[in-house]
Amino acid sequence: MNLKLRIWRQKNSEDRGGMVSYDVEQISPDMSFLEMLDTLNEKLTLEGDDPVAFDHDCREGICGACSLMIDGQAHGPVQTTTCQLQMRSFSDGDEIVIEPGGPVPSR
Amino acid sequence: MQGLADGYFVLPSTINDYLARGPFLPIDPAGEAVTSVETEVKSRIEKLLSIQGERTVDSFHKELGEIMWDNCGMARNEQGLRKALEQISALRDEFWRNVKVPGTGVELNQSLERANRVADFIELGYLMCLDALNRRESCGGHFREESQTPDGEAARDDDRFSYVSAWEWTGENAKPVLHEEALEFEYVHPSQRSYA
Repeated sequence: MNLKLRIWRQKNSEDRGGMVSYDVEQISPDMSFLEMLDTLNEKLTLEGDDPVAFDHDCREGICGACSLMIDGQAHGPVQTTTCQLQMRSFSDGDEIVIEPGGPVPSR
Repeated sequence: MQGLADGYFVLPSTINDYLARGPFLPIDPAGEAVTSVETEVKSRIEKLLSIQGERTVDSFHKELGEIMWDNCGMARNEQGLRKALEQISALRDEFWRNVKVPGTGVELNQSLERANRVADFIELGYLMCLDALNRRESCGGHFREESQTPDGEAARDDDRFSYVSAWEWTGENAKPVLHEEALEFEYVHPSQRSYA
């Protein structure tokens, strides 16, 4: 499946940050959401761009390290952790909005 | 699998336990122990960032994983382990020549973190194969194919291998030195495992 991603990018605390669009192609519905992001990061790295930073550890739904706000929902549309969210939960051609998870500091 | 591979889950608890025993003696940040390690780490980071090759860190990690999976798994044999040692050596050479690490060393850089880790995994994978090659017996969960009973069960060789292998790091590209720590059983003695 081919997808359009809109991802919050912010280089460091001085950078205001903003949403950036990326296309990912030939994503298998059997991939996890993080494997889909790995695919994007491999592409970005080889193209000389900075890969997207995201936390993860066990990738098997145990440790609680992964997060991400996916389409406005913590861990996305299925009640699970981001690492256990499979791409079959999305459809070819979808646009997915990805933002940092966890508490947002008040200003 | 979880219990075998994920030391991450245990390590944070052991560190808390250690820190709880404080306070500790103050450390001089200008002391030789600190500065020598700092210099070493800095030069390693600079080296990783300067290579700017053509392969990502993940591609090396996956290739190493495949070599280990194929040749240093639950069942292993001499031929496979020797092949793995050659392949890991070649992979190590290529890593330090052709890895591509984006970004800088002054802000969050997960590719750099991973590159440091994969560099360690390459050393550790090599050592695991070397250790497995040395231990010409089936032991614990590991089945050395050359060492089995007539009915295909794991055969230990206590006369030659009743020791823990402690390998000493002797420097970059130098051969690790094996220290045999003898296992002495005073009360309970090892016997052949049997499900019969």
